[in-house]
Amino acid sequence: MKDNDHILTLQETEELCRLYMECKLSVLEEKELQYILGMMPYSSPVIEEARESMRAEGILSLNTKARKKPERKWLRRAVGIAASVSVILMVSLFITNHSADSGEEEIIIAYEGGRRLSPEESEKAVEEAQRKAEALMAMAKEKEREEELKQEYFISLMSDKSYKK
Amino acid sequence: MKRYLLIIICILGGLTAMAKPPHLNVEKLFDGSYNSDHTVYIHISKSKAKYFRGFTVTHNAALVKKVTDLFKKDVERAETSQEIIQNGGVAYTSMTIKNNGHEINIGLSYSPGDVCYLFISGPNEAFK
Repeated sequence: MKDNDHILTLQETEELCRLYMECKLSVLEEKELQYILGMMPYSSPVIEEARESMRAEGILSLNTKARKKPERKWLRRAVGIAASVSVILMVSLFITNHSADSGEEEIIIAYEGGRRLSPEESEKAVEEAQRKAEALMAMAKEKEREEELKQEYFISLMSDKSYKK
Repeated sequence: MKRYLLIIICILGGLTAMAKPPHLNVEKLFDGSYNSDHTVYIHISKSKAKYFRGFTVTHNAALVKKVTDLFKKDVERAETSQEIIQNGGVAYTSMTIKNNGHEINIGLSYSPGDVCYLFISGPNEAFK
């Protein structure tokens, strides 16, 4: 049993299963038998009975899973590393973008006639340009409102005429 | 654990991908190539809250045409646009473009003598 190089025959395995069913194996021997049953393709009523019993105890299935673990370990590790790297990249990208925004200072630049203005001149010139833009937007809104009122007036005029007819 | 990592990746990826600059054609006027042009007045202001750019052309018919062409290219993707015609010609034209859920106002006014004034204005969030 302790000899790892020795391959058990069907008869030997059945004998061990019998001993297992009679609870004559030590804990270590039971564990080894569980391992053997998970590995060996042997099948007989005694072996199946022992397998069922182990499954009922939930040992064999756990043992089988534990055996499969090393095969997939590298894959899990690779997925884990890839996921961690992605998270680190995403977080750093996110932080870089947002820290750049939060550290943003007010920028005022002006060029007039091919010359860059001083900060004070730029501030005044930009304020003036912004006022001009706001005035244009306000004028456009006013015109739009005027047009809407005109349309409403004509629609009401037309509906009045058709009503009188 | 993997599920949480995937959720975090999706959220961060989504947030990063969501915000994108508007890539306006009229923004090309502010690439620095007109800074030394004697017929041009450039005004740039950018703060945490507001983004503003003004571009005035004086007595330069070719540049007025270029500004108009760039403006027209952007009108194609505008949410709304408006033209005010006075004395048989366009005196002012404007448009609204939505980006990152915010409105960008772009206006272009014309004055006699090959003069035009273009501005881009909106909350800073719309330009990220």
